[in-house]
Amino acid sequence: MKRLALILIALGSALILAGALLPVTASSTSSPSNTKQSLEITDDHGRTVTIADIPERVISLAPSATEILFALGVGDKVVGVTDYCDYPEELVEKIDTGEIQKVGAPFPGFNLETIVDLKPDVVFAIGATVPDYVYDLDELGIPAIVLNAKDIDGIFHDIELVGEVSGKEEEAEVLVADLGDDIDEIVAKVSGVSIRAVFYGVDVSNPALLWTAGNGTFIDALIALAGGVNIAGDLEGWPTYNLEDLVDTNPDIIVLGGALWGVSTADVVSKPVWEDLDAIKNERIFAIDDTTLVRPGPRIAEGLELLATLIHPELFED
Amino acid sequence: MFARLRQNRRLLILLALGALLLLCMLIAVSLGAVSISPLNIIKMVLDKTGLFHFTATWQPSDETILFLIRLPRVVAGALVGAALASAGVLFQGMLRNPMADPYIIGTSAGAAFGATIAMMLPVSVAFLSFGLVPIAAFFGALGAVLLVYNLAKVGGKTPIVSMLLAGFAVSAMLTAVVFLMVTLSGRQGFLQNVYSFLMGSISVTGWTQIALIAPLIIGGIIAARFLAFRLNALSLGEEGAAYLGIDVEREKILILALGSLLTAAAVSISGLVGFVGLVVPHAVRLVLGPDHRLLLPAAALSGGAFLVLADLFARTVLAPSEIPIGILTAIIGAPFFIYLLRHTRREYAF
Amino acid sequence: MISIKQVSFSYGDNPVLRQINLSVGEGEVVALLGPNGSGKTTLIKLVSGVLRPATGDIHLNGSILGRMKRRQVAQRVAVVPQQFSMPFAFTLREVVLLGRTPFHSIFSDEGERDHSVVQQAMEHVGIASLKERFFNELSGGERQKAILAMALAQEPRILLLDEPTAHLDINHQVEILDLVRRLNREQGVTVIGVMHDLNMAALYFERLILLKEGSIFADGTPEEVLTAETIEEVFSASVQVTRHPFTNTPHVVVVPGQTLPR
Repeated sequence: MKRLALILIALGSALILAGALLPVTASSTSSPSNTKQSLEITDDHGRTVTIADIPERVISLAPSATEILFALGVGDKVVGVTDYCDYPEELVEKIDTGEIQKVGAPFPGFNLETIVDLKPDVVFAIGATVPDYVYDLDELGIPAIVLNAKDIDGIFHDIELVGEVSGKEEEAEVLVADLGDDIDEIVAKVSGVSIRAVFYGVDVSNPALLWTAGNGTFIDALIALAGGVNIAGDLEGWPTYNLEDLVDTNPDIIVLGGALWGVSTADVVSKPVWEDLDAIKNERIFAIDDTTLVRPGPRIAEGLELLATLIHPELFED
Repeated sequence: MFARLRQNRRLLILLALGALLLLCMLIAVSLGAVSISPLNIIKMVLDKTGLFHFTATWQPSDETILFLIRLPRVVAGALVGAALASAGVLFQGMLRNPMADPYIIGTSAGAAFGATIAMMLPVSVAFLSFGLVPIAAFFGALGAVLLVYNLAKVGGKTPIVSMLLAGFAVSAMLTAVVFLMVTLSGRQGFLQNVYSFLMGSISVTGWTQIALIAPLIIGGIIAARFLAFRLNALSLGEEGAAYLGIDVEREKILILALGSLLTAAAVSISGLVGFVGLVVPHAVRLVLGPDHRLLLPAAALSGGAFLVLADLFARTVLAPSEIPIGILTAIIGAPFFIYLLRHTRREYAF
Repeated sequence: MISIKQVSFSYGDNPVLRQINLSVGEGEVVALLGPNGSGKTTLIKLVSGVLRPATGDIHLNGSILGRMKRRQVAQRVAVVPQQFSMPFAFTLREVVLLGRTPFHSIFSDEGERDHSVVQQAMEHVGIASLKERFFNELSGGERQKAILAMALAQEPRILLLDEPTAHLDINHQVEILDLVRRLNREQGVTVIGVMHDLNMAALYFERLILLKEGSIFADGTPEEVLTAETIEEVFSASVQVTRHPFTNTPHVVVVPGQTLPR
């Protein structure tokens, strides 16, 4: 009797499972209709993505992608952005009115239900590797393009990619050219001037464990373009940095990147060991909002300018 | 006569728990960040079986949400909860220690270790659409148990105390390595990914993962049920059980393997969800008694229902954001368990 | 029925039993006596099959014990250990039911027969009224009886007892031993019991085996084994041996202050 019951339970659960597995392929929500031509795109991770020719509903899963979309004039097609997207002003207004919805953040996870409910034609994401949620989007039949700009040329490429996807190739060309000009202008200004040593503090809340930006980050690249040298430039990624080494190298300039969440120079200026550093004695320490330095988007030139004015203020006095 | 009565009582209890589980799953499926009317849900499900045909009063995106996001998630929640609770019963029975949970033998540290390595690899691998992490977590968990078992084995026998100590040591070591990797990695967002895994989350999309894991979990739970009589005997101690004709070493290996398999399967889907494997077996034992023939299936069903409800709260309370489920299981589980402890007759608690 | 040939056993480097040769026939009631460390409990464990001898063989009705499956052995041999802990809240009935374990494979579950055996065992031992009480809440005597009932539920042909009367009040001691003897008389169950109380052993067991330092020092009836000389040799105690006033079995008597060897 007991055995029979067990067998029944086993069968029952098998049936439930089978029934649940039947609808494995849901009706696709975003495959292109027959009247439009579809476009095949290769994203920054070599994924081939097929989308409707001109997407009418776009979701951006990264602030940098959002900025690119708006810069190219695709802002009116955007229906969803992340919790952290905050630029441009037009975006903020549209979020307030509810025209654009927030879909979450990478941590603890984008809300897939909301994303599906917005019925996007394409989703832009970023990641050094393909994020897990992109595989989820694949499962759901939503085209997801993953951007991964590792340097300024990468940003230009991504701008062109977004332009291609959204039918704004011309606008993309113009934007890339303008950005290139802006950057060249700044680089020209600082060439020929002595290079200054810079320390960039990502997080200096714990004096024993400083976090900085090393080789491979945009910050590192921008410092170099801005006529400086990153003293942590021989380290990779986002390494820790020793306070002793900081004293040893005694950089000309210190930039703290946490102004957005309340970091100010006052935090370190009067601290022991710090107060003896040249950068502090010469008042060459700054706390900045680093958004434009870390987002691989159209404001990268602004970020470069910001850094350049900090490193070589005398060249930008106008 | 008594035998039949008792078996009937057991069956009735299990059926009631099964109904409870189904009810919880139904409720969970009807709620989410996007509101879909229950009527539409019923229509969609019936329509999908092919036996009924309704003209769509819902949008195609609702179907996607229901069948590819919510339903897999709820089913996964039930499976993970059932697996962890069953593993908890197994380990508590084998170790004769009511403080045991499925992670005590190193499974959690092993899974975290595997997952972290997978997250660190600069490779984008789309293995069957869910990436490397679940696979690495699964084998990491099993690998750790294998290591613990071999460390504890002395001349053909594995004393319980040695297993516990080895489990502790291996867990500590692997956990330290995980944190070392996080510290050295220097990749932004990496820490958050690891944290996400450690806190647990049931983020299954589509059915592929479930199709792979469900047979393991369901099969494992059914197999565990067959060990019930012998688990009862093991509570007499290794010597007492041996006198009753049980090959204790072989039994320990079986229970260990089964429990680890269930835990590894669960952890590969959901990361490290705590509490379920420790508290659900306890609670069920307090209410229904320590007889494993009832305890095992009852704990599985209860664990499934519990986790489905916990996950429902996790994804709706702060929608569209989510609370990591490990936090929720603790917040819900702890007070409930304390209540049970104070209001049940069986004083020797377990 | 039980034949022990050239059996030795050591715990690590510590030899506990040396070259034991012993036969126990069906229906015998045998007591194992000896000072602590003489190997009594070890011998019981060897006969139950839980320990394997380092040398020699033990035969059970002609079959070699070491080659039999644990389940088979447990269907014939039941052990009543000195004590065990039960970390879970099983009722007395559920504990006694555990005695049926050797008769169930993975796929079979308890049936009518099991329940009637369990009920009978509990009644036999006199604890049926306690069956829904929690095992852990019972007194020492009641627990020992429960363990005995569990062993009886195995329907064994051979019953091994490890100090069954230790820690028990005198009434419970008598009850248990009366029970065991009745079991032997009514059902012919072979009994081997480790005893520490020489007088109780003399009263209830027909054959006494006295162990000293891992070897058999004496083997025979209580009259033959319980002599003042033997006891002095084995226990280093000087005693008087008289007769029990009613049963006429040997009765060991000590005199305070004069129990040291000459």
